[in-house]
Amino acid sequence: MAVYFAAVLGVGWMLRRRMTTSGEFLIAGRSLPAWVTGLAFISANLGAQEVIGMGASGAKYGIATSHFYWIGAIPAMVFVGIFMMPFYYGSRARSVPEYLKLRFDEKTRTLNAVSFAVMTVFSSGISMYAMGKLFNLLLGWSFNVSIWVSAAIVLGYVLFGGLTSAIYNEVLQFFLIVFGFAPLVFLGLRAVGGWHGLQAKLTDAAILRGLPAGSLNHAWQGMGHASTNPIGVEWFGLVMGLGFVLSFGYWCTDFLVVQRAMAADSMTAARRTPLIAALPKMFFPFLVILPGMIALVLSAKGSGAMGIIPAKLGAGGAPLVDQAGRTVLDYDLATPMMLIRLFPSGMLGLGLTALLASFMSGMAGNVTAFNTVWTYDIYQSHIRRNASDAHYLWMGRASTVGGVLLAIAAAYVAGAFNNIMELLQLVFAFVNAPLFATFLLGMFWKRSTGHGAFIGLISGTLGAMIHHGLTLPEGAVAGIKGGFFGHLHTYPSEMAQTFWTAIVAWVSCFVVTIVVSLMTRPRPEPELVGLVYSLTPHEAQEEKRWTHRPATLAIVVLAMTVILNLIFR
Amino acid sequence: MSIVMATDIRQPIGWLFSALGVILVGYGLTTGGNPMYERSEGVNINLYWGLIILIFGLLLLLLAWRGRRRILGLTARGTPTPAEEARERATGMPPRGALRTAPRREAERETGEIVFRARRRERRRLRRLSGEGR
Repeated sequence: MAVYFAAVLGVGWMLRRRMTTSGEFLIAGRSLPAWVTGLAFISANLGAQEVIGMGASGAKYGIATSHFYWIGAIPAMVFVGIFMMPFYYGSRARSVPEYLKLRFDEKTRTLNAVSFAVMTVFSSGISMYAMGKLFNLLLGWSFNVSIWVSAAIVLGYVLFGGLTSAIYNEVLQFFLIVFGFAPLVFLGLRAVGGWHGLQAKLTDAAILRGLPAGSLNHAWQGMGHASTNPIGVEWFGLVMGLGFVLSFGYWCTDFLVVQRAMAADSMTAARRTPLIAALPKMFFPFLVILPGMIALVLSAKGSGAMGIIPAKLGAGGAPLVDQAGRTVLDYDLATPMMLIRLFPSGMLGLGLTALLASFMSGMAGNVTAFNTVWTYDIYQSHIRRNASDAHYLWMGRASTVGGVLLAIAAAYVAGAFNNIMELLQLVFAFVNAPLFATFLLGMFWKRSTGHGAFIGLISGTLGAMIHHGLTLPEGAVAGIKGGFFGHLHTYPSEMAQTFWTAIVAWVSCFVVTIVVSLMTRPRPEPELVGLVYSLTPHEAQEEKRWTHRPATLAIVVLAMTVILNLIFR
Repeated sequence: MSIVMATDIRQPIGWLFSALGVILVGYGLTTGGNPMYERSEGVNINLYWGLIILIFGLLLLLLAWRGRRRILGLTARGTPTPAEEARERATGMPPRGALRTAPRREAERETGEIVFRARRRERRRLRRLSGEGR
């Protein structure tokens, strides 16, 4: 860990002399090669919540969890690279909200900027809280010390080297995560008797849980109906809710990831960034999901009992039990327990450093997205308009410090009010779901107007709230899980409800944006050149060598994803 | 410019993994038959994985060193000889070892400019607001 800290701080220090303008500090001066931005693109997203969360889902849902990657990420990454990056990059917008200002108007930008800034700070705080608790549990380290030390290190290297430093360190963290977790999969598979041994044990585990025998081993089998697969959702809800709305909503509009692509050094590099990121992303299920699946069936040392995941404890310290009388497992501990069970001292240090690195890369991503959105979209647009660039550079640094402090505060709030976390994540889902409809209409329909976009976004969020308030997942009581306006429909699982809420939000935003746009006056077409598909010259993006064209890479990525889906169906 | 950047990042990554590799290999060698390896199915994972990481780190350092040599070789090259110039004119390709990506990137920037210049008024307004060049 000490070596890792020295490395990330060293990278920041190495870059400090380049940070002479606000553009260099906040948006990396658009100077980074595609492989760097590509790996940073995926690494910024690969926070610890992803690593631990996917392990947890792997234990809960089996290989079907890979849907979150193969349906829930790859198609959207391909789409944003091929179709949307030309507008993000070509418009010279310095942030996603700034694109909205160029395309629509100031109020749409402000709505997006403010909601994003708030979400990103809280996201960071929740992540820090989770890390603090985890290291407290695993190593007995003080919650406060873990939070303040990791925050200080992230603050250090971002203050020195800006976005470039964050991106370089994300590349470093990517390799660290791969090297930290690959042996876990290797040893885990050896311990359960190889791939076939794992399949057999998972079949037993599925039967024990009352699911169809092969459901933990297959991704698509049983997707015809919600009751025959572990996720509890049918294929339409999965593909449309997760695969389209949620996934495109995140990968295509979330500034945290788009910012990495916008830092590339050319249009082709920017378009290839998400595609380059998609290649390792496709194989990550084997790195982060498999440990969770193995944890479910690996025998505990000493007792020989199946599974090393501890039971979830209730308020009184007693294990929780579900309706069928089975103990509820604390799935979030699946991956950490694997580290402890399989790694000897030495390798364990590397594994824990990799885990810490994933937390820190997520945090740095949030901080660099926040400081850019604050400085350009909120401060420069509304508070001080015509100051010198040196002033904005100063503001960039100040907001970095501010952002980290706010995130730490959010971490303590998350600790004090546990339900706040769930509530916030619910609110974020409401706000995120309609976003993609707005961007889609903005980029591909020249008739969409600022009023339409603004009102559409608000209706989408309201639509999500209303849908959530009128439905409940099976077995839940009205409250944060839904049903606070009434109970019109029951969904077989929380996932199903989430996916359908997303679909409703998207459709409401889409329809309302179109209707209101048709009733309001659009901007004159010359102003929209380079911002809308039909008004942008296409020859601007031709690469001569077909091996270097983004489209070629996209086809390769999609073909490989289809093959993976077929193998694990 | 970007090759310098790429070299920059390959170095710290190379150093980090070389250092981590050395630590793991060293620890693996000194704890040879330790009972803690029962956890990892009897495999001395520290030693073997440490070696793999060390090789990866050294490989990156090698790539970084070669990249840097190419650049230094270029700046020390001076003006091209008449033979090199003639070959460049005939084939349209810069001399071997030159920054091959630079002309392509310039072309990219130019086509990007065509799109961008189409919104000249908006860009001027943005420039006034941000106070920076570009």
